[in-house]
Amino acid sequence: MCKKLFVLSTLLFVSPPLHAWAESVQARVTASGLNVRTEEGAITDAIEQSTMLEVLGNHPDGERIKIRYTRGGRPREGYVYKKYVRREGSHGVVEAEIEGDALALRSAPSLSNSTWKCAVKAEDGNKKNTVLILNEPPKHGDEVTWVKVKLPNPLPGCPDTGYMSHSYLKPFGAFDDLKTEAVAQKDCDGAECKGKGRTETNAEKDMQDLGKKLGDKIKDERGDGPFIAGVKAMIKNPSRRPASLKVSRGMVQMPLLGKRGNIGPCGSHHYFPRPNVFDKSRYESTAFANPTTACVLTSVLQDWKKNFCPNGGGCRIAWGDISHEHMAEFHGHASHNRGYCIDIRPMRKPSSGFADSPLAFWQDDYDPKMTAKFIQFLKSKGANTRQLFFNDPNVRRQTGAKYASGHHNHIHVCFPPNDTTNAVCNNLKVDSNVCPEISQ
Amino acid sequence: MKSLFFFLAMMTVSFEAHAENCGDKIQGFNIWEELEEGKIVEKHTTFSIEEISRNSYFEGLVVPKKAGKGAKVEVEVQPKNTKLKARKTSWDLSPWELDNKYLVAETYEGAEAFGEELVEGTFTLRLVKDGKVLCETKDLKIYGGH
Repeated sequence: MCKKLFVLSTLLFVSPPLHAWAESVQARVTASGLNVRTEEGAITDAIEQSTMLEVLGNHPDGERIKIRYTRGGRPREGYVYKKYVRREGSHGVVEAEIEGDALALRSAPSLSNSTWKCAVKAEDGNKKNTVLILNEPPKHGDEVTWVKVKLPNPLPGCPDTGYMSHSYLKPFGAFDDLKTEAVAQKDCDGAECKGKGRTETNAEKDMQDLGKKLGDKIKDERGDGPFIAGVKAMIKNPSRRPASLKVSRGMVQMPLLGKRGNIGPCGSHHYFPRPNVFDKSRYESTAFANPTTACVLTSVLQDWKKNFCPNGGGCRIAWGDISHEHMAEFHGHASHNRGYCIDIRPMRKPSSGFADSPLAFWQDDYDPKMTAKFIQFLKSKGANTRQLFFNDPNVRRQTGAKYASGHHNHIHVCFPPNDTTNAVCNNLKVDSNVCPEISQ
Repeated sequence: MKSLFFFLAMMTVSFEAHAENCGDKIQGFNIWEELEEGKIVEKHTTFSIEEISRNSYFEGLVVPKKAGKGAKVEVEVQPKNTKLKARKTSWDLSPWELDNKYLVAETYEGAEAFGEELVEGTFTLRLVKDGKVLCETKDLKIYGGH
C-alpha cells in the first residue's frame, strides 16, 4: 500500500500538470509503431500507435518535431517524423479548411462517386467552413489521394461523412506555427550561445536563427537548394507547406524570375507569362506542379542543359502550361488539372537561336532530330508513355509519342509519382553551375 | 463583244473579292525576358501567324510601317459551333516603340479578339485602309484546348 502510494505520488509529481497539457499542442501517433530519435537521428525508443504526445517545436530539418511523452510514468523527450503523427484538434481529429471555391463530397474514394449537391463551400459569408479529417489512412485512386471527412454542418439532406480530395484540403494539422527547436550546444560556439542578460525573446530568436543556420547547412550538404529541399519535404509529407515556396492545392509553383515570369530554372523559358494574354484581369499562374513532377521537371531542365544544350539557343527548353494555382478545372485542358503534365515546345535548329514564338513541326526552324532526342530523354526521366503526345509522324515513329489533336506545336509530357519519377527525384542534386537560380 | 465585256467585268469583281493573302504583312509578337550575365533583359519576337492556341498565342499584332497612316488591322473570329456568335474587332495602328520598322495594333487584347477562352473555329486577319481591304488571310485555325 505504502509502495503504491509512493508510485502514485511520484507519478503525480513527474507528470506535467493537466493545465499544461490543455494549453500545449498535442499530437497522436498514427503509425503502428514510431521511432523516437535524438536530434541527430539516432533511435532511442519506439512508441505505440495512438500514444498522445506533447509537441514542443519543429526540428530545423522541417521533417521532424520535438515531442514529450510519458514512458513508465516519467516524461521523455525526443524527435519523431511528423508525417507519422496527427495534430489533435478540438474535436480529437484534424480540422481542415477548403481551398478553392467549393469541394465535392463523395460517397466513396473515387471521382466517379460524387454527390455534387452536397459540395462544401470554402466560405459562408465571411466564415470559413471546415471539415474534420477522420482517423483513417488516406486512400489512393484516380491519381487522387482521398481522405474520409466528417462535416460539422452538412447541408440538409446530405450525409455528414464522405470522401474529399486531399489536395484541396488545408489541414490545421501542420506544425508550421510552432517554433523551430534549437539544436545541441555543440553546434554553437562562444558568445553565440552563452550570452548573459538577454531577454527570453532574444534568446528564442537566437535559437531560431541557429536552427535556421543548421537547416541551411543540412540543405547545402544535401546539395538540394531551398526549392528542391522544400519540394522533397512536401513529397515526404503532403501537408507540409515550406515557407519559401508558393504552394496551392498540394502543388508547388515552379520558380520563375522577372516581372513577366518568363525566366525558369536552369536556363529554361516559361512561355505562358502572366498576366494571362487572353484575360489580363487574371494573374493566375499556370506553373503549379505536383511536388514529384516539379522535382522531375527540375531534373529534366538541369540534365538537358548540362548534357545536351550547354550553350542554350534553339535547344533551350521552353515550357508552358502545367496547372493553375487555384482553378481546379483547366477549361479545355483537362489533363492539366493535377500538376502532373507539362506542355513543352519542340526544339529549334541551332541556326535559329531562341525565340518566344510558336513552333509547329512543319516550320523551317523546327529541329526534328533534337526533338526526338529530347522526347527519348523525357522517357528516361519517367515520362508516362500513354500521355506523351507530339504530332510529327517521323518523331512519333522514332520515339513512340502519340498523336493528339493540337499537339503539332508542343510536346505534352506527364510525370506522375511512380517508382521511376521518385528515383529521378531522389537522385536529383542541384548543380549550382547549371541551375544557379535555385541553388541558393 | 458584249460577252467579252461581261467576262472582263466578272474578272474585275472576282479579283476584288479575293484580296491578296497577308503573309508577313500582319505578324504576331511576344515580349519576353531572359537572364544575360545575371541581368534581366527584355526582348521581343515577331513571327508569322499560322493559327492560334494556348501554345501559339501572340500578345499583339504589328504591320510593316509602309502600311501607312489610317490603316487598321481586323480580326474576325468564326466559332465552329454555329450557335456561338462570330466576332470582328479592329484596331488603329501607331508607331511601335520597340521596333520602328513596324506599326502596332493599339490596345490589342487577346480576350477582346478571341474571347477569354479559346473556342474552336477559324479566324481571318485583315489589313484595311480607307474602307479598302489591302490584304486578307482567311481560315486560320483556332485550337480550343486539347
